[in-house]
Amino acid sequence: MSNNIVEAKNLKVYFKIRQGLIKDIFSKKERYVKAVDGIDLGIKKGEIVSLVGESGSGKTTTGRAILNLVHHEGLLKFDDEIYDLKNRKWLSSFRKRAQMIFQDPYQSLNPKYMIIDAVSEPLRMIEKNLSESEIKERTIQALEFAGLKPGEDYLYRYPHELSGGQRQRVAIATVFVVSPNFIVADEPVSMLDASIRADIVNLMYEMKEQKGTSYLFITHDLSLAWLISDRIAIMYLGKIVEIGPSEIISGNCRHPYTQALVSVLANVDVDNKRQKIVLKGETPSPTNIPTGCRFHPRCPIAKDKCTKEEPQLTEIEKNQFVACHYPEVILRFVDEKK
Amino acid sequence: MSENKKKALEVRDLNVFFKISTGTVRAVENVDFDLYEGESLGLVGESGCGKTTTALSTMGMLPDNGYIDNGSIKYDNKELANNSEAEWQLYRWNDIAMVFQGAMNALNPVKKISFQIAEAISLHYPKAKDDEIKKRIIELFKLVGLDSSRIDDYPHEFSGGMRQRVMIAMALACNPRILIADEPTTALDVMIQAQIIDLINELRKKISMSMIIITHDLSIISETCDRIAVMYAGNIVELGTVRDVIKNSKHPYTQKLIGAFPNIYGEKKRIESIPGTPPNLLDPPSGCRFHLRCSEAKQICKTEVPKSVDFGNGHYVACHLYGGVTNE
Amino acid sequence: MSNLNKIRREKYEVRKRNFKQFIKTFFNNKIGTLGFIMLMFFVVVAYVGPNFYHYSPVEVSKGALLAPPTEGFIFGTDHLGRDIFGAIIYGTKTSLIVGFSGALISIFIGSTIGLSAGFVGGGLDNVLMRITDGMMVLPKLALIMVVSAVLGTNIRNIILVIGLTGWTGTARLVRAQALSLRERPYIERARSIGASKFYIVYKHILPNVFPVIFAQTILATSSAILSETSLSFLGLGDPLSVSWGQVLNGAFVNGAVSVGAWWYFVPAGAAIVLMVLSFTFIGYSFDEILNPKLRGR
Repeated sequence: MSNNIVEAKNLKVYFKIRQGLIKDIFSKKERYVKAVDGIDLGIKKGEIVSLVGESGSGKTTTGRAILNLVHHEGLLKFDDEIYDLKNRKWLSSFRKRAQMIFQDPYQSLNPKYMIIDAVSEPLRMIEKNLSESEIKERTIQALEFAGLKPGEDYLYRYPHELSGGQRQRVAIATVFVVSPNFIVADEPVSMLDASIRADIVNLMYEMKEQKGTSYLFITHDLSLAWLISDRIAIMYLGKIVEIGPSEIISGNCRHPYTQALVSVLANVDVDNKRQKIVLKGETPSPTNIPTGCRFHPRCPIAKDKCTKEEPQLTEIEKNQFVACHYPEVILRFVDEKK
Repeated sequence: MSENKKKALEVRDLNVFFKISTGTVRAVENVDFDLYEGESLGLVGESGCGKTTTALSTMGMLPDNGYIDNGSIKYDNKELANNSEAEWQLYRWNDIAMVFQGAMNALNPVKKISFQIAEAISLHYPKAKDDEIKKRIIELFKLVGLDSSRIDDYPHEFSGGMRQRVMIAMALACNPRILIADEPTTALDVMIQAQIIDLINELRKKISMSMIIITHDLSIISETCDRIAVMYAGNIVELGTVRDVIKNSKHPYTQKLIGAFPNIYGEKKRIESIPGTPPNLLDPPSGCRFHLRCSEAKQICKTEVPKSVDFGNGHYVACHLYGGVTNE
Repeated sequence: MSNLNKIRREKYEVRKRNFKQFIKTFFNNKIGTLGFIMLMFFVVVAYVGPNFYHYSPVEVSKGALLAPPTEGFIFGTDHLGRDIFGAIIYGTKTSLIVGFSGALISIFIGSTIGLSAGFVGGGLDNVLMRITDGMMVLPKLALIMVVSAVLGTNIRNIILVIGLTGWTGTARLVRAQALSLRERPYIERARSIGASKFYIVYKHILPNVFPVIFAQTILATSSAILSETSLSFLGLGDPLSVSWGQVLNGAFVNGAVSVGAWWYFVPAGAAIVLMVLSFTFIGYSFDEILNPKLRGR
């Protein structure tokens, strides 16, 4: 018995690289993009966990793997049941309980669908045997919950008649309409203006408070993650390098990568200018992952051991896990000595 | 303090309109600002507030259906607003250059980087010799922190952050006195953003030029600018030093906008949103354009356009809350 | 129940409004309107014309042989003394029927192959596209000639042959569209709620490629008309039906060009050009409306 809604053990997603017809046939060595390279993650009921990382870190792929949208390896459990992908009954109940919010409100709605069709589609697909009037009622309810009031007014419109913020609300309504217990939100606000962003975030928060929904919140925005989530996981090149309560961001993060990310966080506050640790170079390609600790080529404190041995996630403080050989080093002080 | 500084750019009462099939979009109205020599000014606001349009009009690069309806743009005390295309061409890139939004994805994929920068140079210096141009390109690469042995690479061999550096190098090619950067860090990863911000600040130290940085992200402005102009629906609603505008913001819109950015060093509280949506500029609301979304709106806000109120130290706020009496 | 009807009615109203808007935009486009008027003219000629003008291809020697236009025969007569004006009027219908039917068959095959290849992808995509490539590199006209020579020359076979050989371009185009649509988040969203592949193709992909298919149908019609004309011109047409291609074939075989009997071939040539042009105009303006990026340029 656990109170995890989602549990992933050693989750891996590899994409095979096509090297052209001839090489595909004759070359024995197959090359893979290791988008997600063995992560362990548990999300408790009613918890918001943020998955933070740069592009190419595998954060979106992790979310899609959890929703069974990409082929994956490793163990996944939902509500204490191991994913039973061959069982139609399990799948359909899973889809009712786990849903996704996409990043781009301009792309996540079919331009040829009226709002009523878009929002009611999941209902028709998942909860069969509903009458048309029930469907309409639930559609209006979902739209109004998402802040489009009165819902009746939006039913027969097309997405292109709505603004970006309104579209994201519709997209959210398409998820809320089936009242899932778990939602993967993939950068749901990164395309929206600051003044609208807050509404969408607060909406998700309300859903959590009213219905106990759990979230995997995928974002590149550390400060947003800090604000809304209970726990934060930092991903780098397909692995989680640090995970812990969201307060670690404002206080005691230990992995050098997290420390650097936090230090470069652009900050509105003019009086709080901290020393920045700007890492050189860019994230290597996931086709060619460095040996040992995958962060060592960019790490300011990398030592010999880091090039050979891959560090494992270890608990260094209560609920805070770090995958680093030298988690006690605080970078700011290292830099000053130089 | 700003009185004795030389003005690089002086924009007064600028109105920029667009003609579209359903009417006239009043994209920018009554915009006043100065850009002093060597300073960096941030234009901040949400999408569609007119910040890019304002910048484009100072370069004479408005789209075909856009025009300057009224107002003056002075560069070195020369009036630009009525320039012909030929006059704009002389001035553009030599005096004022721009890093366009998303331009790093607009490099020609089949031409070498060096060729593309050389193009920009030889357009303005047709007499320049090949080896001079090459020397200049190497110089520019060093300036923006790129490996100068890679000038002959193709764009796909560069990462997003490096291509953005190339775009900055290209803008600097003719030693402009003003550099406009439109969303220079958007779509880049956090660490690359930090690298570009570092570069911008370094460039400001190394070469004396003025900068206009356009962004929707207040936090980037506070890292790179001296002064901020906050725009809403085509108007500048607040203008002042970064410290004044952020620490002591007066306009309700600015206050709300700042409230919309979480601050990890502050209190963990829910971010606030501004109710409603930005107005349609085909038919902007009467009076203060923000009054429909403003929690402090009074009767006067619905009818009268607020005038700028001076709070000293170059801090101006266009809001009726501070007694900006109209038509005295 | 009444609720369901209300929803249907509301949706119907919105669609009707959008359709009206589309029609309005279409007729605001001068080239499209011109093409439409030209096409309507041909349709009227094809279906109403024969009621007012009597002509029969087997009726010979009503007039002088190879006579230039006169009052009785305003386009003159052919080498057997038959009325050319009548042949043009009666041939209009053949061209339209062959054009539309040939186009429909080729579009149907092309869209099916394109959609399956683009959406299902993988091995099926490979197989279907190699077949398409194979079809593409075969000289089309030669293929049509061989097949129609084997099958026998009548109108039905000609339509079939044109349909079976003309789908390659459509297949490629539809596949490209389906490929790009497949990656859209709304398709992934449909997958995440458990939609089947068939459902996704039918409800999400098809409505979005439909504009492309529609515009392509119009262009395919004109190419089918041209194919029929070429076949007939080369003597592989249906000898029992009247068509513009047959007229041209008669003119060519009987040396109308060398004796300067221009009335024998110019009217048929002009009719073909105008009809193809009318379809091209309509197709062009549809393209402009459906791809707003081209608009106003």
